[in-house]
Amino acid sequence: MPNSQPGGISFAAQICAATEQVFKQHPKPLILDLDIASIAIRLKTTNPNLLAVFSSAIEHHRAASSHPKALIRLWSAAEAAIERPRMPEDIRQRVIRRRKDLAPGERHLIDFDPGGRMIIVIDPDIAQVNVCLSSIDYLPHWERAAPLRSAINWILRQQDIHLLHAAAVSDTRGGALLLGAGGAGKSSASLRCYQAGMTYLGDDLCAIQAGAMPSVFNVYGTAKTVWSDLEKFQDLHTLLISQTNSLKAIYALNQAPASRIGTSSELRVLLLLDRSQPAGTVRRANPAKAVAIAASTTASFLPGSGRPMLSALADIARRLPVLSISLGEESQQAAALVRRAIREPEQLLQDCDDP
Amino acid sequence: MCASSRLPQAFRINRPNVVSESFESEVVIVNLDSGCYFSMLGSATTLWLQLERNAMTIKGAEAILQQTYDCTGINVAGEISSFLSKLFKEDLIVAEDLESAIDSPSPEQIPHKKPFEPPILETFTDLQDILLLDPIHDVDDAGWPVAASPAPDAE
Repeated sequence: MPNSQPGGISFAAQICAATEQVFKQHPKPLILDLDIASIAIRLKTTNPNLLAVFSSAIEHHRAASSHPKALIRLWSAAEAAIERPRMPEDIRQRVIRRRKDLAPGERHLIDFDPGGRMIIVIDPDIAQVNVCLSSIDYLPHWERAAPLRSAINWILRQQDIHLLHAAAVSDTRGGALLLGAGGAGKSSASLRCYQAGMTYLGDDLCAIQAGAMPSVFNVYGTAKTVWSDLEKFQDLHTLLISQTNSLKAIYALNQAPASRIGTSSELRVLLLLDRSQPAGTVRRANPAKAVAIAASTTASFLPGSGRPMLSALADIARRLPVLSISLGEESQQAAALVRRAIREPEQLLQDCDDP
Repeated sequence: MCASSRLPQAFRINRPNVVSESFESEVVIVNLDSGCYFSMLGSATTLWLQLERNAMTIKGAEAILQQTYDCTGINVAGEISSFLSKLFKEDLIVAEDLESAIDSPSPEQIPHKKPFEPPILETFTDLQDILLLDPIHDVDDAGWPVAASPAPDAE
């Protein structure tokens, strides 16, 4: 068994046991109850700094204490002064090779960042996720903008909701998924729409559900841009939370006094961003290609995504219009196009064919 | 030696690394390991949809095409051999035991066979670099997904 230690308990079980030990030492842990995509999740930690860092992007989902469907326990070996169990090399190699699927343990699922800074052990039987950091000082930087994503993805998947590498915005008529590979302009497009008054649902990761009414859910309240785009979003500067030596400028949209972050929206249209065309160009897109782009990028960094996420996205793409669109650099124009795509996609296509 | 004699005689989809979804006249396939995605058109969709149900032999693949399409004057064996070679090369299919594979599909009455359409596999590698380097374009020097120097107490 790849998860077994010679003559001992499995690695995953050791992490779980260490987590038990840490929380036994802290009979009154810090608790944050969340409601993400209508799923009650409880986050427990022993360290206020950890809570601050990990909760900043999701605290707008704070909910009244309830019966959580899943529990995430978060601790750091350095701060807890507990030696973190050593990960056997065969598990390490297995997880690296199979990033797309959480490595199966005896009954646990294991994920970790290859720098060895963060280990996630999921116990599916009791819907419990144990997240063990080496130290808060060595936190993978993406955890600040989109924390706990493999844990949250696993929890959402149990309810047929899937994290997706896509941006999303909405208005009163419904939502639009903004699809494209890295660098396609998803973050900029979603922020431009936000600037122009639309509701923000995500710039890089959001959650989707197929079902009778295809829906998109907000997960993270942050947005990222390259630093060179800083001037374009001057009105958001008070929300900047990243240091200038960070790779990206991170905006905590959920900290805005009148934040327009939605919780969910009925999906109306899928938009494949295409910067190669002049602003305002709208064409019918091949749904298969749009699905392939979003699904393959998602599956590559969310362990365990694979088939269920692809199926959900394909189901949605078969039922909704899929348009290729060039939104341009101007916020009001971008938002106007997205709003039209949500409200009257066929008319928008016709107008673009016959201007 | 003909190409087909170098291919395994039976094969199946390389699950779970390969996932697919069918659209109207197209099948989209994602190889989660390589970061490539693919589009299948023409008679390739017929073969792939059959493969989703069962492992298949080369003989079975020929039979399915013969049954579905008007293959008059077509070198079906050659078309299949060339197509399967591409699938193996992209790790979309892997060898399977002969006993587990279907080599004579259940006879299906198709009143009017369709004109033959060559099996087409389009390969898209435009995302591969992004995927294999960093899917959310957020590489830092600590290394994702490359296992760079570990943090002090990392394994």
